[in-house]
Amino acid sequence: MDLPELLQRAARREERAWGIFVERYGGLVWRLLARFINLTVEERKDLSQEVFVILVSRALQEFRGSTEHEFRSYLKTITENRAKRHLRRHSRRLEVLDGRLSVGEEDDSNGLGGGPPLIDPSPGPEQLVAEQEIRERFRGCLLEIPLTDQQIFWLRERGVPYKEISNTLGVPPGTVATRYFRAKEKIRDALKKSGVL
Amino acid sequence: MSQLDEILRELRGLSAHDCPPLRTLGDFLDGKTMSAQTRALEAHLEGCPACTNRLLDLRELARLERDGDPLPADLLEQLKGLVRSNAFASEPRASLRQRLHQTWAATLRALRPQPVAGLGFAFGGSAVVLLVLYLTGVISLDHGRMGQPAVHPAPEPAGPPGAIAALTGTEKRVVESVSLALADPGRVQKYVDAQQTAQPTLGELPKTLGQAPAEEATNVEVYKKAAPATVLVLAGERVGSGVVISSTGDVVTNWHVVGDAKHVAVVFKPDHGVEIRKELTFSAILIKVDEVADLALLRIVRPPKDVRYLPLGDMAKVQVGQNAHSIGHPKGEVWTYTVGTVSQIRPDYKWKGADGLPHRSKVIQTQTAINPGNSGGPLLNDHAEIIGINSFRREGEGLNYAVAADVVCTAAALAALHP
Repeated sequence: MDLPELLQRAARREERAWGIFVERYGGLVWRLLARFINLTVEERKDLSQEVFVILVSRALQEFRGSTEHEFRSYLKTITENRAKRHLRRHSRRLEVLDGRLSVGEEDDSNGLGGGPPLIDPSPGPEQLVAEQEIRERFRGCLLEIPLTDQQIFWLRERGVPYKEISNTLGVPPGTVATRYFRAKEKIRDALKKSGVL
Repeated sequence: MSQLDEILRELRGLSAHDCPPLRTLGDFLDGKTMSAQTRALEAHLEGCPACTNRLLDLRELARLERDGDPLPADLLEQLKGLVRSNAFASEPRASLRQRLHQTWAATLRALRPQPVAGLGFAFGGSAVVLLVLYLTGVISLDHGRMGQPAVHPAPEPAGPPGAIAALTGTEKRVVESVSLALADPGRVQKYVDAQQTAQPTLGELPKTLGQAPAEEATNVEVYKKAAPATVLVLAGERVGSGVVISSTGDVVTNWHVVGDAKHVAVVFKPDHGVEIRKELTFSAILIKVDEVADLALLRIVRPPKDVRYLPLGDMAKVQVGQNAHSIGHPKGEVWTYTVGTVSQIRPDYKWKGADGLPHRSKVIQTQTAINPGNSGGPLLNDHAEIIGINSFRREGEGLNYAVAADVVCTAAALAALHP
């Protein structure tokens, strides 16, 4: 059963398809919630149920993609929005084990959560121009860094441990450390040249 | 700082023109793109952090779907049962508090038509139910206050043995004192009293022999400025030092001090004396690590209002031969001050941690005495500005090293990528 068919049948609440769907994606939701270190196990269980209720109620029907990657991203957005909403409602700090939650993901645009964005990025026109210039310079610097080094840098910035980076990218741990150091040095130079540091 | 924060945050989302759709990135990840398209995507990714991050997200999600903490069996069954029980048609399963509320509501509803005698019985029955739940640990009295992180209990022993994992007797007493302070404020007073008599105060610390009066005055000033911003860091069984670098309660320490501990406690020095006090103990979260430079950035969950912090010094002005002051907690001797000189600045230094992991960074070599427990504490210039983070020593006399301040600055700035 390919993904579109599985999602279609699960959305129709066919028991067998739903069972396969839960077995395939239950672990992903569970592990995504584990990144929120403020959530208790009981809350993770409650939120997992909420996510799957949302999926079967409407989110499966509203999904417009067709690939595994697209669906995982969709699931990630729903799960994280639900967890963030829960933490906001309980006045708890939004603490995550790593930095995978970026500002852009706070908007809750799929309407499955609620609450205002945590940060209000509303710079003035002058600041926008200055930032644009810094971004351009930074991008120029990035072009000098090999893609693998950039990936190592961003994975480290998200708090992914060396061993996991090594496994994910297939690079030996020692090399990961060296390349991270190298990439960071270059990025630091770029920030210095841009007058940020 | 706010502008810097925003710029750094945006850097991660920096996108180039003509970003490919998610589907194409997924195909690229799976090796399904044609060679020309692959080359074009690779060229695009090299200049587009946003797409690089999206790609990494996809890769991470794929890995997360395969590996990691398994879904609890009972939850799996509950999720499968959602379509059988038609539970999806209603609201999601109520939280514990909601369920208790519902129990109360049902009880009260049942009470309305009851005569007075029945009311007492039903009310008593509910109270018994709640009492049983409480006693069996299903609920706790502070359940509703989970959102207000108070002082964490002393972290549980965890983590691999590091350079300072094996606690000395004094270090154990420090950990015990914090545990006691958090568990039983009454009992700890005796302990605090004992600490006060056991720990020498600053006035009792031996003065450096042969020191010129002016230099001595500087040293005293540095200590007075820096000690309130130097914290004791407790992470699992590990004890180290740390220094506050911002008014928002960001604390820099060594990565090998905190390791992968999820809960870290920091203890501030009281105005007088050096005793460990419950009210000066704060929980902190680990927000950033740099294993290569052996640095970690913590954030105090609820920092004190008037938290004292130290500025980062200008590394360009650091010279060999200048004074280098240090405050830390060597072998549990809390808030110990030492002074020496900068022996050398080494721009690209490699060393191995006690766990064998390679480290590399710009470091300051100093004569200033550093011992286990000093790790993570500040190395300071005469203006009490941070010029380094004391990190390791080598065998031999006066071969001590601190990760240079500009590396700390970069780490802290990059940490702003992740609010």
